[in-house]
Amino acid sequence: MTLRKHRWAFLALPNILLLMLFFIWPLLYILLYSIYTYDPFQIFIRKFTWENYVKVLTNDLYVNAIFNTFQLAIIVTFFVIIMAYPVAYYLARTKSKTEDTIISFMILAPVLISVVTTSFSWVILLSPFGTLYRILNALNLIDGPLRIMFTKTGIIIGLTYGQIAYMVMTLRSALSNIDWSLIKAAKVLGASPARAFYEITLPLSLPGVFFGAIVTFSLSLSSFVTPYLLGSRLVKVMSIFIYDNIVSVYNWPLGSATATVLFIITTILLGLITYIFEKRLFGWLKY
Amino acid sequence: MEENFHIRMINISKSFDKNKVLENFNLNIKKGEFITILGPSGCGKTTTLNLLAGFIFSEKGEIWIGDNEVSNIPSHKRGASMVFQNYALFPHMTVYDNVAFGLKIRKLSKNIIVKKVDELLTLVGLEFIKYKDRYPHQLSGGEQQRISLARALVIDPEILLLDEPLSNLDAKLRNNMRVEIKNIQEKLGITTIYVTHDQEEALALSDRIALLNNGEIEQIATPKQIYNSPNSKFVADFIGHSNFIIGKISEILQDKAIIKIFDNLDIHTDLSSFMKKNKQVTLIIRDENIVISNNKIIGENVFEGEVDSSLYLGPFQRIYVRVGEVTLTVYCKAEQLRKTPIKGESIFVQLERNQLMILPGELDIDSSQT
Amino acid sequence: MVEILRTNKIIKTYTYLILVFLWIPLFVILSSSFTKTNFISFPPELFSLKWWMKFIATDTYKRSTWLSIRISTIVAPISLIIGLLSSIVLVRYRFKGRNLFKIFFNMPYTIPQVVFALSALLFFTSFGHINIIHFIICHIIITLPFNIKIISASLQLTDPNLEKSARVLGANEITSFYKITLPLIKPGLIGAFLHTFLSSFNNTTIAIFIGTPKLWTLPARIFSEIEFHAYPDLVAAASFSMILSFIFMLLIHKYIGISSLYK
Repeated sequence: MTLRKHRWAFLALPNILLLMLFFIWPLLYILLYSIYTYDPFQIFIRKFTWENYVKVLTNDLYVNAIFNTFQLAIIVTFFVIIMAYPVAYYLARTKSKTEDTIISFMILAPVLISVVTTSFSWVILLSPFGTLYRILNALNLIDGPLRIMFTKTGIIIGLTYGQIAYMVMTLRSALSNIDWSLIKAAKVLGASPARAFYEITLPLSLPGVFFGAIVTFSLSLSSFVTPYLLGSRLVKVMSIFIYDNIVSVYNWPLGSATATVLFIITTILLGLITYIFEKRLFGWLKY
Repeated sequence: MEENFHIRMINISKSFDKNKVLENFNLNIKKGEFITILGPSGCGKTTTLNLLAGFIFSEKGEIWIGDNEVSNIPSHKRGASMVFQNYALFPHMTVYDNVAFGLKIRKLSKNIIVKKVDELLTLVGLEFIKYKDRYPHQLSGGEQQRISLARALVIDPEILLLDEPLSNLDAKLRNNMRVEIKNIQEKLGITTIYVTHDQEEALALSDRIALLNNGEIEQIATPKQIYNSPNSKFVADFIGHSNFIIGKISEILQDKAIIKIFDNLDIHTDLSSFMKKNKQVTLIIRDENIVISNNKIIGENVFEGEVDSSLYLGPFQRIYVRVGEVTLTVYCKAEQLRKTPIKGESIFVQLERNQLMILPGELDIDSSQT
Repeated sequence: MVEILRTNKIIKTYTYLILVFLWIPLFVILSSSFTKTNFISFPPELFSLKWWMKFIATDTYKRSTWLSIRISTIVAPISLIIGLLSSIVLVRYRFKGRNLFKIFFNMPYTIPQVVFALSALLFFTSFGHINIIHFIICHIIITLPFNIKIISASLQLTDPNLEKSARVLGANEITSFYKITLPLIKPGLIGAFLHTFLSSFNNTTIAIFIGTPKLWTLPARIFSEIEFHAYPDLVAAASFSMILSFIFMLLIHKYIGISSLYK
């Protein structure tokens, strides 16, 4: 048989087994627990019910959290794209290799530091009487305590901070892949540099923007540490609800249902969007 | 003299990092001329084109297009249009949008644009209705190159630059496109600069050829002149196949000179002004100009040699003949000889005096000859 | 031409401003750990090492740090080996389901970490108490996708014909891989190892969800103390984690270049 030919496939076995046993299978636990009933004493009873999902999808607090989560993710993605694009453009165009390496390093370094540390730093800076307060107070621009922490603004700042690096690298890659002779062609046909950018570079970089945005959006939706620390549980997003239900209240069924909803939104929905867009919108990419 | 030239490059110098690509480079091109810049890789031909287009700027010198000195004018204002080796069609735009691109920038009305696009597509042999809504990735290499040409010409540029436009096409398509490009150029009468490393292409298309070597023009002349009267070893070597024979002038007579090649080989040549007794010279004769025969040839400069090897090339053949210490390459019709020459066979060659080119000095022979 | 130069200058300035923005938190954390004051303050009142001394002396920090180190040290080699094996399959062999495999192996990266952390909690607690093995398993799973990415990139740069040449000369598959390919991908392996260690060390979400008072890693400790005990010794703890990360980063950059993590 072809067993001899395919014996190398066994190399992948450890990975496959590991994922099946400790990744796929546990995920099913969430699905299972989400339809159990909550019990304050036993945590859950093996009685099937839809009430958890009903709560997640209709209860005001939860619907609000879903809305918050989306809103934050959209705003963050928007800002990340705007802030990252020029940097990516500069990186893609720079002729000096040393500058490229140095800037790349400086952009990616903050990302490899744990997210607690960077969020902690923003807490220090954005605290009601923290650094930013002191600066604005010295300039007489503010009277009372600074109201950025415990609000969505603080979370937006923190999340944007964490996502810029990835977007820069993705966009930079997309921009470098644009055939330089296309710009030259546009120029000899009379396009000014600005026009060439608008008509050629920008449209051709859109697939990169799109895929980077998907990742940023998805990571922002499911982000936990940053919203927790900067919103200090006053701003409710889905991941915080999951945490509260599981770790504080021990309502595992409800937490599981919340997690399932988050999972469906993030993974399946975004995966689907990506697939559709890839097929329909960027057909000209496949040349 | 100056008013006759459409394009003038005067004393141009261009370096990249520490590498001097062009130094005190001069080139004058007449209006409506089709000139090819030919040369090996790295000789500076693409740099010259990029300078004309305005993608790079020279450190010194002037570039005149018509009555304008353009060296400080960016490419989108120069009026020089370009066709690229990889076509450079905008992948996210239809054929129509690609060709109309330059016209839209010039803010022409839609009606005029449609009319012009139609005209140009027809000129390059493509049906407007059939192609206008297609995307570049749906088309073949040949079709893409035609559209690239149409796009470059639709804006009525002052000069047309082509950067090895046919290198990505297969041989048959290349031959067809060559003819079309030449026809279109003649029809429109546009001053055209064509860059290629393919000498056959250069000979076929050009009014004049400028052969570049390390940033310097070795020779600039019509195809016929460059082929038949190369002015240096480099030119003779680059264009066509030639034999190089080193010898010493042993005697100078009234109507000829006798060149001694080794002990027992004497070649009689025409006289040249530089000739002096005992001077070293290099004789150059093209492969196809050597007369070859199984029988003894009557005449001057006939030698008996031994066949070293031969290559059958269909209608032609290439035969390597050893004459004393010299190996000559001969290119002739397959029926020229009685039968396919065998190694060791005796054979006769003649180097006719009027086919011999003589250059002073002992010019080293490099292996690019084969 | 002038317009191009001016725009370029603006973009360049903007880029450097973003760099400053990105590095502010690092600077804040590090400098604040040296404050003389008894509360967290930025700008700090320099210069005192008392909070670093407190950090080093505090038992809870020591235990958390040691736990993180233990976990990462075990996770890194195991994840590396499994990742290497999978990379070989993905890079060297053509088969019909290859893309599906890629997506499958990449799943831990595409699924939200909160969801995975929860599933791990629910799953492992059904067997009893959480122990360090569970941490190790979770971290291996989380770090595998990146491992595969880094090692695959390295593998793709090597010519498969090199191994084939060794094979026709008589070496068997394992020997030819070991003697030919392995040395060539060494930088990639080292880079993957370092990155795995760092990821595991810094992992927060999983640590918070499945952590117990006895098993509370350093990032989890920092996380929880921000709420309850926000004093400069916490800043010192965060600085420590940051310096460690930075050292690893430099090493990673030396071996595989930091941008290869994100290509």
